[in-house]
Amino acid sequence: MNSERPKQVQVEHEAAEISDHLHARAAEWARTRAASKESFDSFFEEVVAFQRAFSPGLRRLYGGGKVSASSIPPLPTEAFKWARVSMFEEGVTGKRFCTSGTTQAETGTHWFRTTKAYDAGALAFGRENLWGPGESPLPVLLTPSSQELPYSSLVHMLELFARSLGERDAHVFADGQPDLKRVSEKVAEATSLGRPVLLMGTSFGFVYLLDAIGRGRLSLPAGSCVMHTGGFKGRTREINQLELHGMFENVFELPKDAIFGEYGMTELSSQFYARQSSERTFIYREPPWAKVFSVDPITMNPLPEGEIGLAKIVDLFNIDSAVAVLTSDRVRRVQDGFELLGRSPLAPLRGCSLAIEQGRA
Amino acid sequence: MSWRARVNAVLEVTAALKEEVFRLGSRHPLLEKVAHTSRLSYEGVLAGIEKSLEPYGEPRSSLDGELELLRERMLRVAKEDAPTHVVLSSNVFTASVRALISALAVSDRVRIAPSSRDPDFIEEIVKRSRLPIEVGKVQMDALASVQTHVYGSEKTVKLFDATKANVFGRGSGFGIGLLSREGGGTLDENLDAFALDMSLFDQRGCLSPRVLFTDGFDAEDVARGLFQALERRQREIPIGRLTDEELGERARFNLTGTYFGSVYSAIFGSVAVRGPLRIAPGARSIIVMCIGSIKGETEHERVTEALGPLREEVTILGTNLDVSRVAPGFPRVARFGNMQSPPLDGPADLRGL
Repeated sequence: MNSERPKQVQVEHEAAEISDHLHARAAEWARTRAASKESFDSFFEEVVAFQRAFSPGLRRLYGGGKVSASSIPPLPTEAFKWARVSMFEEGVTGKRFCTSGTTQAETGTHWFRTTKAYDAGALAFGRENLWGPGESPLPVLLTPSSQELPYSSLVHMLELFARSLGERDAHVFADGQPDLKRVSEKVAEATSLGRPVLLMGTSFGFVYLLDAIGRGRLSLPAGSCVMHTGGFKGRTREINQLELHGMFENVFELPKDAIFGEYGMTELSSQFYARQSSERTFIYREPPWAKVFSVDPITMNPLPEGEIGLAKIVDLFNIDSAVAVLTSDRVRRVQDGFELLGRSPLAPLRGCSLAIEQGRA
Repeated sequence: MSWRARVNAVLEVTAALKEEVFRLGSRHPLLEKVAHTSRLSYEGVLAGIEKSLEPYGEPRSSLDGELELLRERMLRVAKEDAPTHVVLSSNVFTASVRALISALAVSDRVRIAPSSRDPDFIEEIVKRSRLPIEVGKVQMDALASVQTHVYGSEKTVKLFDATKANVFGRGSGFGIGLLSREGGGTLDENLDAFALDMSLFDQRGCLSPRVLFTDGFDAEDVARGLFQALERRQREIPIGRLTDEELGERARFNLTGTYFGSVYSAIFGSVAVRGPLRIAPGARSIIVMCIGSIKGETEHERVTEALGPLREEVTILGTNLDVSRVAPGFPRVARFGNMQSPPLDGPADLRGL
């Protein structure tokens, strides 16, 4: 028994070394983007090989043969509720994000040994979508802080954005909802500094804010942008995305292309962003290190463009958990991206909006 | 008419219908209708009638005692002779008879709202009984002045609860199995009987087992044996038509099962072994979980510990042990093979009563 422990330590050490190497490359890929020599397929093969080598569960799931991003069997998100989906023991995984678990007693947990790849990817793709190089919008976050919600991946990401923009106190949230007075103060501050505003939060948080604004307007400075995430399922109120964007345009006096929907989840390390297309639909786009497949919910085979299936997400930055995840969200692939069509009818209720309101998580 | 006369009228026509169905077999028009609406195979409908449709053929004295208990339990939640609406679910077609009897035991003014997906069976029973029972859709505007017995999912029950009417909701929950080396029967005998419990109604009912706990056996051997038993049951009671949702849930179950351990899967069922406790989604699927290493003096304590908060959802425990040994703590306990044949002593799940 005593000889087992050093062997285990050696394996953990070896796994950590490979993981560090992959995280460093992922972070570099995110930073350098087009200039990077990384390719999706080769990085995918390396992550799969790593996960096969150090996770017996994923080794069984992936099988012994060659798998591609389209053929790899995904791990359903509920597995994150029932067990640790991680290459590493609890002592080694310093950071965790938890799902809101709105209808079931358990919540899902995504353990991270390091958030190096996550942070680099989120920041690079967030910056690419929400603010450009050289721009410095004033971030305003309609969420509680990470001190209040330490396990929220959304809050972690938004604070990351805020810090990168030089703001440490970007939250405007009090008594369980966005604080209109503080939002207005932030907007006035940005206006006086000649900076645009980057207003971010959950969809339901925005609804609270819009309710507080009432029939009035809160005009944002030129170049500002809004990013919302999460849906309304299970809430007493439900507003479709088109209607919500219309309200944003009107109340914040923003053009359509300054309003973004974000799609992300606790079990992933990557995010997806959509703007309203001319056809009144929202096309989400993936970063180069993640692909969303619409799969047949029974066979898990990818469906052709235009067909509705479940979202299987291959996220190469899920280095230490599971590279392919099966969600309960329905999607349809279209040219250059995918449409998000809501939860599968049998799926348990969950989501960022709900987590924040209850006290992405 | 006395409550006993009302209840007996239903029991008599049910027994007659049962006899008629077995005599005519596939020529009986109801069989095809029920097979269509329930999505069960013909054999599945017949097996449901044989194993789960009261009366089961008990001695009269035993049934009399059960019915007394049923009435006593219903009177704990219902006012005698108040107008009563019964809202039925569609998962287990035979359960509609118990629901009707439970209402008739306390009221002479009963209105039944069959599930739109599965109306034929109970409508036939009501018609044959010649009792003055109304059959029709739920009258939402009348709920304030009646007692409503709602059978269905949590969601359905909550919907009626929200009306603030006098609602008695039943129907959700699941069964579990406990297979112990200290119990009777060979492994194959027990697994064959348990496979019957799983196969009835294609596991759509609240008495259907979703987890099998084992003690003293190798869980992998049990899983393999149960898969073979399900295959044998498939020859006798073929699985019916599964919906895309059911097939999708089973596909997810197989993926997580592979991640956590082993999965034995075919069209007739899916058995997963190892990993954390989770509830199988139905469509003849199950988790086999060893409780040998879980703390507790008795199997019963170990099962309770393994279930954690989920124990509140358990309606019945099936076992090969002496049932008196595991009786406390679960609403119902039955021998393997009898999980879907509870005594007629109250609603099927008995929780909270």
